[in-house]
Amino acid sequence: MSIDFYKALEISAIGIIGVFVFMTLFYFVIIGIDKLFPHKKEEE
Amino acid sequence: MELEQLLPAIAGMSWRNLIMIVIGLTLIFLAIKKQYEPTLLLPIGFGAILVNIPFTAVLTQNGIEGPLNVFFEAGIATEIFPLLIFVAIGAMIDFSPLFQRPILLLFGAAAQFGIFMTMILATVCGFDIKQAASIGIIGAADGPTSIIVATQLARDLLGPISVAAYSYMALVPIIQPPVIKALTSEKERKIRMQFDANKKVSRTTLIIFPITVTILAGLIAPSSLALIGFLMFGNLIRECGVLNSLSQTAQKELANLVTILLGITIASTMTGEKFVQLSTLMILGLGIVAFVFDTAGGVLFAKLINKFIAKDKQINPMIGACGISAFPMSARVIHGMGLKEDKHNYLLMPAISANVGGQIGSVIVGGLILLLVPLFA
Repeated sequence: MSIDFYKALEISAIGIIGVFVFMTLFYFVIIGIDKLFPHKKEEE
Repeated sequence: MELEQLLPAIAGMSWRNLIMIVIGLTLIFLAIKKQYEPTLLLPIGFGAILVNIPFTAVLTQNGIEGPLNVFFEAGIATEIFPLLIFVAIGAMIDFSPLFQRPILLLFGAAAQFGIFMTMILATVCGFDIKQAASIGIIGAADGPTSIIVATQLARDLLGPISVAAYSYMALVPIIQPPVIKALTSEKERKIRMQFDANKKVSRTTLIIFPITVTILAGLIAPSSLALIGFLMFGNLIRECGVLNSLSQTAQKELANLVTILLGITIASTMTGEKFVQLSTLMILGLGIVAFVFDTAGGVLFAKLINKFIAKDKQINPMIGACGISAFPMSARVIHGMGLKEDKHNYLLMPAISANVGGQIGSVIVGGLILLLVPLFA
């Protein structure tokens, strides 16, 4: 296997973990903002 | 007088140019007759014809840059066209379904699996790491992200990568169902999902969300900031409530204008000499692999999550396939598949949530690739 293959493996491992970290972070952002600023009836 | 002098274009026509003109006609046919991403494939197809007529003035004439080369340098090389498309897309996205069941956001991560699998496979096929990453990003199912990544990492492959990205996005209804059926049982496809579609989201929440995501993404991966920032800027225009006119303009006029220029400008890279190569066929093949693995990644992740959550909160694994960025095509396909299995099973809302997650996920992966590949190359 070429050097690029091993580089691709490393980038993939970091990339997959990275995207899950980001999305988990955004998940908590959604939960947090939704709790802090709940919908109020008067907005309707 | 010789033929070359009388009719230089005819005399200078090579078999590669002829193939490209046929490809251009095919793209126009697919756009008009089959309605496969017509907004992009029609300009790309017409542009492919324009640039493959020998001595075409749209590229260069008498040493002066032609309009398509000027557009390319001004709009694609600088990334301005795809970023403006992001503003338009941001203005079109409603993030409120994500607030109804936020866990579905994670499918936007799982369904990016195909990008990385394809990148690894591309290196096995002999592409270098920058080219492989650009080919893998076809799996983002997100045209502007593919264009930005390919422009920065493998500009020579921009033409085939763009054609593959937009063509396969149009082929989602053909590519995804067999993969989903192969990975799920009938019982799993019939799972009904709890989804609080009536849950209201406050305006403040919808305004704060794009700002927070931009700041977080920028602090962690600044390379993703152009992508995510323009997307979220468009969304902020939509949600702020005081720029309705700008929001409408971004969604319609801006999107339409830039799309016209984007499509025909991409075609400037589709000259016969550059496009008619074995590598193009390999890229088209790897593009399908990316979509297949994306779908599989999302479905298998849903099955994994189901092992850890209560029976009454189970997720229909088909929803995992919506974690790609092809919005709202993928959500519609899954909704249709759900109805086919059980005519009272409405999966549209959760499917849209996962699909919106896919739009964020694809942009994040694009930013991560732009950050990581130069570090390793």
